[in-house]
Amino acid sequence: MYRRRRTVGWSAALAVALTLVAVLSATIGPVAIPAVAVAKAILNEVALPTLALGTGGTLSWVHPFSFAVERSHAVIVTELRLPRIALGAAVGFALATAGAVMQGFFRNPMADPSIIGVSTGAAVGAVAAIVFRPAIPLVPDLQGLAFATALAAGFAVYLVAREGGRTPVATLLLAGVAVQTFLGAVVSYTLLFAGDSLERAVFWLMGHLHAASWGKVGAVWPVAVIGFAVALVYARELNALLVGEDDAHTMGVEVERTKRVLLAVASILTAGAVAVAGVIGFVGLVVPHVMRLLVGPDHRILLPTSALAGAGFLVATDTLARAGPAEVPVGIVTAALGAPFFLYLLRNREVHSL
Amino acid sequence: MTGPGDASADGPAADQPALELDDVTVRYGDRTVLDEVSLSVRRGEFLALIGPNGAGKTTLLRTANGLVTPDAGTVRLNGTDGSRLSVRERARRVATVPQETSVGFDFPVRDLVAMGRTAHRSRFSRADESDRAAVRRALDRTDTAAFADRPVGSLSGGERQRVVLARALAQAAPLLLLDEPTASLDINHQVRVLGLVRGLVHGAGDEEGSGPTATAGRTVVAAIHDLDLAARFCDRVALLADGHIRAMGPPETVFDPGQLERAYGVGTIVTENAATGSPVVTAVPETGDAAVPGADIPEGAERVAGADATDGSDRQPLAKSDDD
Repeated sequence: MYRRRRTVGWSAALAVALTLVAVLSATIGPVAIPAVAVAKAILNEVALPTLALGTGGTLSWVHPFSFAVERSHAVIVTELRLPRIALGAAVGFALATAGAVMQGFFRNPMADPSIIGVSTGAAVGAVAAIVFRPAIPLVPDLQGLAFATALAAGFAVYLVAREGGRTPVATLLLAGVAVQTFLGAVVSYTLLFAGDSLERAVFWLMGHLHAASWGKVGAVWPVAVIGFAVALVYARELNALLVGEDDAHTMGVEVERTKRVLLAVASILTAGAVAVAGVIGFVGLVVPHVMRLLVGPDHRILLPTSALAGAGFLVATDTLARAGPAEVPVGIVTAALGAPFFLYLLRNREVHSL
Repeated sequence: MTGPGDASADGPAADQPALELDDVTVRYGDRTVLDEVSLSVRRGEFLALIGPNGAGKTTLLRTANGLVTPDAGTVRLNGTDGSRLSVRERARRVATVPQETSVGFDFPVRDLVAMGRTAHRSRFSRADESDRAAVRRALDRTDTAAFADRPVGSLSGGERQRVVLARALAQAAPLLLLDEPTASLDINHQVRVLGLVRGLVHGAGDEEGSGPTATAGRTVVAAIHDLDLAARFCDRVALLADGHIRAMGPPETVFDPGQLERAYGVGTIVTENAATGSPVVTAVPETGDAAVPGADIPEGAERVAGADATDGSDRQPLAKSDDD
């Protein structure tokens, strides 16, 4: 009950922070829009339409009242900035959840969402789509291909590491490193043929949110939410795994099944995020660490707080990425801010273990 | 080998041994760690597994709790074939205190002990009053309630050992397996922990327990290096060497110098502990070397069998009789 209150308290605070960051982010851009106007535009779109019983017994969406917002401001907020903010939040949410799961799963503080090759797998698909799609009409669209190759890479690592019905964590880790290296070579080789599309491919690899659309938002959020929900259901097992697989087994945890579920969930979350936003590093590594320092190792509180903090962190860094005179890929900003912060934690706090 | 034949004529269900190994063979690669081991542990018994390093004690325990699947033979828990039980069902029947736990993290003691309730809770249920009561009782019995809110990582080795024992108690399983439970404990906590474990089996010396999980009548199998502690606290002793059970029975009969020398490869002197009356085994590296300090026989104890007894297979077990 104490833990439940803490979970709700932290989550509520982080949700409020995320909302504030989102509104603030929507005010920033080539056209400065006051926060009040942003809030009004969002409320007009999201909160106020209600399903009402119209005259003649038909149901329809009505806007019983709405705030007056300048038309151009409303369009900028709802069509340009909000999709990007919502996409950044979804990607951060998914990556931080996947990172928390992976670190618990591997009992290794250096584990991150890309540890079993999922991100590099996505890169292969995305770069292939960028380079070959103009020439070969059969290549599917970038996001779909990246998602598929990401999951294929993760599954391949799992199959390589599997021996006699078990999947030893150490083997998985090393297989992940090997597959990542191999796929990295594939990406580099593909780039040799990139020609005119080289810039686009490199930009994708750096991690970005500039091509956001409501369509992508609608594709990623369900993946993020469902993946998160499954991870949360397994939070107790994840705690038990942290004590050791043998101990977890003798306490009644189906260790191998739990590992398969967690691996699948983390891979799908990562694949979904990377497919739409490219390889954004450090969110999945740093955010769970920071939250673990603040709330402790219990995944029942660590998972929701990490997910919300990850969403807020990525929205904030993406705002920085696009605030300057020339847009910078957000992956550069997360790494540039995340790495020194991580080093600071390493030197000043206890980030030595899980 | 000790069979189930010595079970008294209770009901047919009570007849079943708490743990039974039937011709169990375990191989790691081409090394046979357990070689057709058969063993029967009665309900309400405290059995010590003794034997040299690498004898297969830990493997035997890991076979009993399902961490190791035997290459041949069956493990029965209360008459049920262990391989037919789900992980969860098994965890309700067997709790384990492993030799080493990797508790290098910041879970509070109470949360770690509460993990012992995993097999009793459904995925979506909250901890109910019986879960909380089991955790409280386990903390009280192991003297760990005082630091229930401290992170496990901040505790000493001995305190951690008791916390892991508390977790196993919270699991409320009728069979408890302990792998070197006293290895990292000081002499005070050695006797307290083993006294506590003995209380779980026989109820003696244990405060008034309430509820089914607190009553005596559990069965305990413990791998113990310290032969003197094994003799003092356990009902029977099984001597394991090279994957075979060499002897099994009350400590007085198993602690035969010839038998111990064949198992451990070192000469021994068996004497009687003046304070407790239980047998004391003293290893004597150079057989028959009177200069070895350990060969001094404590005052008031009887020398039963010589350290030079390399062929003492038929020697008298420790008895009150005079062997001079």
